[in-house]
Amino acid sequence: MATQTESELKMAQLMVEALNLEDMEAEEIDPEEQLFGDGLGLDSIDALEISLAISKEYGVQIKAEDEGTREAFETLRSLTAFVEQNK
Amino acid sequence: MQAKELKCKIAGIGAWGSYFDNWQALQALLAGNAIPEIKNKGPKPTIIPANERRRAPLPVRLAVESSWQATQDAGVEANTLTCVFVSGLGDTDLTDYMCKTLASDNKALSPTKFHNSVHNAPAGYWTISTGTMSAANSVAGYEQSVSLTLLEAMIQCEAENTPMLLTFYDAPVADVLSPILQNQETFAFSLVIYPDSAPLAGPVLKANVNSAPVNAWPALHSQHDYMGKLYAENPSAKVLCLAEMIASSDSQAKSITVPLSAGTSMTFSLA
Repeated sequence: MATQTESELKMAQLMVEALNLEDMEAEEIDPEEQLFGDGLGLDSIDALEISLAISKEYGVQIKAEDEGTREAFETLRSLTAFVEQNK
Repeated sequence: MQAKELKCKIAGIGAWGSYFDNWQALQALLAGNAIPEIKNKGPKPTIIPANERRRAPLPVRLAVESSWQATQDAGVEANTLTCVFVSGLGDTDLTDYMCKTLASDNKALSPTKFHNSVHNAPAGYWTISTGTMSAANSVAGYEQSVSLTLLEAMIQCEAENTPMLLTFYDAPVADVLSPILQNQETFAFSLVIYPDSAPLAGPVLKANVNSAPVNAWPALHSQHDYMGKLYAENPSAKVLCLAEMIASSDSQAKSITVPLSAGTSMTFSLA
């Protein structure tokens, strides 16, 4: 597993809390693993919950129709980078 | 005019609370066994797929766990039953969350919490988890929730000649509402009932609606403080007077009369 940065760990903690991920610690999320589909197994409702949690925590709005949203949601690393760039 | 007597057979029972995790354990408490020292954490019904289960709040998990137990006890395919779910209080944690969020500057609501806040959320999780295509009603009747639900389900059972699942559930009330709603106990109870004509063993429950009201629920035989508090404060736990009647092994005539509305009451007897 790739090493999490401090900001990635913070984002992982936000995800574990917002999604109530059962039996999973924030530290266990591989920053390069796919969040949806085969990887962590998240689904479209989780994407909405993550967007809401990010808007409340970082003030960053993620819109479904925006270019770049799909790439942002690929991994913990890409999502953290997207939020850092748009804060 | 004398209303028609309703009859059904009880085929399965499920139960879940802080100190019992099935009907056998509840019966033991009703029979006077000591309250266990360790309090149960919330149920994790495995019938709900994992991705849905982590989104399921306590009232949903209570209702689904108890419902599943009753269908297993009855030995019936869960998806063949028409359902009536009831909670006297609903999910007050989510009511509180919705009110707080909508009164704040950032009014964006969690889609999961919004979805879970509807009164028929447990019925939805149940029907999705079991693949049930039959009707599923959700009832709320505060202190009369139990009698209203038994009336609703027994009428459907007899009129539609169909087996039914009834599930009663109420979770502890959110702190902010505790000045008006006392309940701090967790409770769920389920029955699978069949039309009286069904060729199966099991006690026959008879019900009559009376045009004379009664004001109070009958006293429980159980002397446990815990049971007394549960029965008094948790609207769904009013079904304990019926549970006691089912659990009791004495052969005397068994009958209870309970409040139904301002002008009516209901009498249940077991044969």
